[in-house]
Amino acid sequence: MTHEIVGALFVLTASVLVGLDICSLESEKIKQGEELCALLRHIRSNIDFFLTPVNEILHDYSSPALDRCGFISVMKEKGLKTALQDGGLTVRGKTIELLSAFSDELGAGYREDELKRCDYYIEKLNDENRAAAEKFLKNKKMYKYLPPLCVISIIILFI
Amino acid sequence: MDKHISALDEALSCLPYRLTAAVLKRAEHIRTGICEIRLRVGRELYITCGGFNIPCGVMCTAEDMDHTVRRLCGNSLYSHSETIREGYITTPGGVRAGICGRAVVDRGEIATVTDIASLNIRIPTRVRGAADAAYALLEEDSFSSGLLVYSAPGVGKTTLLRELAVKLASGEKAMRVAIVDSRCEIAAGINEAITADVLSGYPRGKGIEIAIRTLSPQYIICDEISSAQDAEAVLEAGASGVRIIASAHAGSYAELCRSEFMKNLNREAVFGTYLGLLGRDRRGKYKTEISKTVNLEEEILQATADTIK
Repeated sequence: MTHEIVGALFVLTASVLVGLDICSLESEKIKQGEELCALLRHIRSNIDFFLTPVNEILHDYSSPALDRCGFISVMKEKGLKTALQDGGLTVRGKTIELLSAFSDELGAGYREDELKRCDYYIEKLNDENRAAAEKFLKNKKMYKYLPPLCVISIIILFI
Repeated sequence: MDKHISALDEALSCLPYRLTAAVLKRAEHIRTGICEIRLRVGRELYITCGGFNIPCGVMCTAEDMDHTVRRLCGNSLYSHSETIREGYITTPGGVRAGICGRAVVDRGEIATVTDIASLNIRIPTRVRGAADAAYALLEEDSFSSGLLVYSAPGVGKTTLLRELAVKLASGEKAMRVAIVDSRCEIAAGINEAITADVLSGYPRGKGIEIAIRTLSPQYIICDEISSAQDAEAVLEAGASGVRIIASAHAGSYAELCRSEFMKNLNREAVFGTYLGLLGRDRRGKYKTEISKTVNLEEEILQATADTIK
């Protein structure tokens, strides 16, 4: 009986921690997505008002959420493209594809072209972030119900 | 020599690897002598060494040109749009690339340049001792007047101005020198010019005006006086008592004096001495012609009077 209780407690604890961890991971992804969008807006402003070269814009940028995972330091040292691959980001999929394409094209044109490019990618990224936030809200309930569902399963097992 | 090698390395790092390898192979034994690297879309890559044009055996493609232009601009073409309109790109290390392409003209002015088809990457050189003769000329006049250096393109006016800036702004008799470096070429790699102030990228006239107002220079150095506006700024500087050292394109003194604005400068005795660079001999020393300021009007009147007699 003791073993069953210990096992049950173990499963319960694990379910709570997994639920919290998934919530935290998804929340961090959304935060990073927003910060990457802010980075693009920062690049756009610097090009629009000061025509600052790309490496200077990236070198002077800071963001707590992106700094936490090491993205900022890799970006300052090795550029945006490398930071997207090796910068410890938790965002994946379409967001990374968009930013990769953006980093390939960044700096190749004159001011008007660059502003249009920035506007395009900012809009696309905003769409991705919005979709991710909506999905997270839907799934959040499921993550919250994970621990009580485990409790019910355990009770059923004991009956 | 070290400064030249690092400027050359900077230039080579902007080229695609294929072209860099071709340049290095062709110039294996003359690495310190490369003055220019010339890219032309659809044509062979050339380097210029000692006045000779040397083919490198590789063709330049449009992709090579795009890659090179992007690298020269530090992957920020937009931040160089002003200089591209003027026909050149300058890197932080002082490498200047002249560009040719298709000009987009708006109301008679070049708005931008697209389809870049030719690139001439000039490697800045330090030639120790290049300015000794020029310095001696200024010393003869007790540093009381200016100097105009003239020559055909590519002979070494900017190199001479660079070395003269170092001589004037260093050592025990260092003077306050303001360098109006419109094309960011003169002051490349002259860290030892300790009393020099550099106005980098400033338009010539504005730079001279700011230098006079805010820097109280003993000498102002600028490159390529080529228009009446430039001459006017130089005249104003001369009127304020600041000595000017400048350069101009001309193959001879007679050719120099053909332009009206140069005659004005001569009349006002802005430059005490005119130093013509006629090329270099085998040892790299300049062949020169030296002229002192003359009063042209008096000479013409005298010549007319002689004719009448």
